[in-house]
Amino acid sequence: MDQIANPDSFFKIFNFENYSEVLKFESLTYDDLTNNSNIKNIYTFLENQNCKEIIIEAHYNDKFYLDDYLHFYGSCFQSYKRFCKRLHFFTASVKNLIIEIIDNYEEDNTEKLNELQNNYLGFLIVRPLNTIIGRTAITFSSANNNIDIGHRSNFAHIFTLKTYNVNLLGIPLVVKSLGFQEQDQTISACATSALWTILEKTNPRFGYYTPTPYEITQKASEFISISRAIPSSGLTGMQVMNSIKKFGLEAEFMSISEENTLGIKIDRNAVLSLCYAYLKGGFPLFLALKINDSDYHATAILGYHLKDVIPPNQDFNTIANRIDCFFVHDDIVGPFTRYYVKDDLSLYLNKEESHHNYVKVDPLYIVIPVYHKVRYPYSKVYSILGKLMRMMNMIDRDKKYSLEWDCYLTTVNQYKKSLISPSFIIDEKLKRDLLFKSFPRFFWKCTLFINKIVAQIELLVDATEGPNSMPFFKMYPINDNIYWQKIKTFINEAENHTLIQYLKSPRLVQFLQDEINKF
Amino acid sequence: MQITKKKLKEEILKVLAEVADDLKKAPDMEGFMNNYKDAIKKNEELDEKIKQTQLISDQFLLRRFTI
Repeated sequence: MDQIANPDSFFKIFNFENYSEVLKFESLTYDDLTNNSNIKNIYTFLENQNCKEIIIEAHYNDKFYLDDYLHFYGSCFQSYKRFCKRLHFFTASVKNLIIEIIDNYEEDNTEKLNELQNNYLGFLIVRPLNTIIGRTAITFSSANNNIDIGHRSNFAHIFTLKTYNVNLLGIPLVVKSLGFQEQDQTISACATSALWTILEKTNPRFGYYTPTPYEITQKASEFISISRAIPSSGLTGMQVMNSIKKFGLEAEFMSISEENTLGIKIDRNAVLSLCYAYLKGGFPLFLALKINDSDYHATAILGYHLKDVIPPNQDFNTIANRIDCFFVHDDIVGPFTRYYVKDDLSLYLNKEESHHNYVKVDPLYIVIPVYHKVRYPYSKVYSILGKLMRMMNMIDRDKKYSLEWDCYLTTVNQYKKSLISPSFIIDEKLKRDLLFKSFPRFFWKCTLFINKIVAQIELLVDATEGPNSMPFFKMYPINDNIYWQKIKTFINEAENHTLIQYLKSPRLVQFLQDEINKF
Repeated sequence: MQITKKKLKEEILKVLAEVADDLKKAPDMEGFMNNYKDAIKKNEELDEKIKQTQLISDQFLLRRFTI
């Protein structure tokens, strides 16, 4: 408490010496700190964002650590500390600014508060354990990568972040991030940490609370297993899915490895496309991995990076096929770790970038916790989009442009907000029609792009429907009607039975014929 | 770092101007009739691959993430 009363010990210049000093509890040596990849990677991450100052709350009660303490550390013979430290990071020296705000709080401080907020990078909870990195939320800014809310090339796209409200000395601050914490190797191993990150985003979004690591491990362990719940020796895939369901969500699943699927080669585009469809919809993914051919690890995928070049010689392209890197919360490497995607879907870490020994990881499967009303599977949408794109390619074989589908899970609120946003270009009458029409709460929004930038056709698929229904409910042209007219001519001139034979769905053919003739 | 509406419109118009002649061409009905049976095979192959992604042995899901 004395430290808080003394402003000089409250503020520290950001450098590795001070950073490692403030991270330390008595039980840790300098070597322990410098050998921890998380610590080094978080430092580099902050350094790249031009961090200049650390503020230390030396006596902080963190509810997630407290729950671990209540259920394990507090009942041990050895004495564990109950309180954590909370560190705040700023891109400038803010000591004088904070003192001015505190001393003159009754005055109009808007400008000073904005200045403080603009310099705020986020916080890190230091646990009094050997595994010190507790709940951490640090902003992912343009200093690390360019961010974009659309689908532009050479940009990072992270839609799974949330806003954290922070209170520092009575001053409200916000940080946009997604919680990260390293496993404590007792209450949680990698799978619990990954699942905690995912549920930190998904649960509050659908009106549930964020469970603590202890609760996640405990719920997972209700699925029968020969090993103890606590101390945890790690979760199995079954237990992960059990935990997700116990917290009120459903678990979608996708197998990636040929090892899982009896040697049948997995479609690269299908896997990347599924990741894209949920990530762009704001759903983080649970990724099961194999490391060094024998060890199993779990991480949380938060976002992706798109390269510029469309893979050649493909008759079915989605934007997801341009993903060349995932941003992953890997609890033994660090937050926002880059996993580079190779052609065979294996993933690589840059050894220098990640400060860690493992370089290649083999993805095994993905689990996506979703709200129970998201029912129509993405795999069925993907199959139809493939058929439609092959059809489009056949009627225009010598074309000089490229086609790509952009498909992701969205909500009626997000969709209508995007309709009125200034960056969306759509016919005014059509915009009004769409705004006043009632839509399902969740749907798959599929947009056909020409040369990566010109949206031409939008197709909406009801995600709340069952898998055997006819979920396509709306199709319309965007930007201009040139391409639409070509498709319209084709749909109207093609023989009905040929279209049915090709698309294998009379109801889908009827839908296309009805919608295409409305414009 | 969001693109402005004006800039986006400019980019869209530029691309549209480049590909307008292609887009205006009549659909190749013959091309479709000649190739759709092969395309059905490709669609079926893709559906088979998609089906595989939904399969996994229970034994595999019982492997423990220990790192």
